[in-house]
Amino acid sequence: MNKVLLGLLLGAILGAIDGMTALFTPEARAEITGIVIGSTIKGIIAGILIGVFARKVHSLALGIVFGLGIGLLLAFIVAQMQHGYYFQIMLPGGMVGLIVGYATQRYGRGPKLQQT
Amino acid sequence: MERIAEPLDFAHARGFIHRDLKPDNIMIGAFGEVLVMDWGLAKVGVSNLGPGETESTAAVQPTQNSLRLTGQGSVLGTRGYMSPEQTRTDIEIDHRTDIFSLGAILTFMLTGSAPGELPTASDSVPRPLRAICEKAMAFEPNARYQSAREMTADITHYLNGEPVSAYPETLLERSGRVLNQHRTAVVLVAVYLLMRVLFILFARR
Repeated sequence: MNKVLLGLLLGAILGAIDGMTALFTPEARAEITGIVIGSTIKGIIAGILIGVFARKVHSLALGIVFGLGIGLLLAFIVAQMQHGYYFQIMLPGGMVGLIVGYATQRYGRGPKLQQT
Repeated sequence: MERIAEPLDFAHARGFIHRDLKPDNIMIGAFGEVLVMDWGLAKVGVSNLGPGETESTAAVQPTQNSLRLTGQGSVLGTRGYMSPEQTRTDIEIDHRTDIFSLGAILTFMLTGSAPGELPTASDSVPRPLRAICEKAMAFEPNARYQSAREMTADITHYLNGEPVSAYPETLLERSGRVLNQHRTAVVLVAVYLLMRVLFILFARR
């Protein structure tokens, strides 16, 4: 699968799962729809960025570091907007980025070389 | 194995059968290249070159005489590496006798012991590799790999963590192989899920 598409799909799925775990936090349950949508969008953005990076840079280590960085950065922005829960938001966010970074480098297919 | 099979495939395509493949006849050159030596017992059979292919160096024109140049009526080869049909003088052999020898060489490489004694189930040789050896050394030539390339493809599949044609695996074995093949991804997802569960447990406190 195309690296960007793989990143997008993985980001969306893991983002949605990430958001749905808020169901287990009683005080967040009332805003679950917004949390899931926001988390999915965050996952999609991270996935696309990581996928584009994987297309340009063919390095498993750099892909993982970049994924982790993007995941942490986007999660930090979300945590800033929430005025708290830094640990609860940034740790899973970083982890999702790391997984997407690994998967896009390991399983994603690069662009086809054009014959000249 | 792949590098042994390459010259062998080349020779088979041009109608040559080595007939005495064994570890002693496989040598590593100064640049790491694999040399298949001692073609003294080689037999010229029917060339398998395609219609568009030509042989510029040594045109093989198999004749009734050339087919019988070596070993007519006598058993030639090395015990243990020699196919069953090669031990008989009444049947015509083909390139698949070399496939048997390749299987014997692989067995030797895996077990370090003389061929003819395939490792038992308790041995450390993985089952798919054992199945590859067994298929290559099948009694009936039709049951063997039909070319050296086909055999090395199976070995490559095994090395890449993919299923091999010689060994139909069970569902459990397949799951184990897939998990092993994607070990890092599985560990990452497991760590993520564990972290999520821990978060939920702490949130409930």
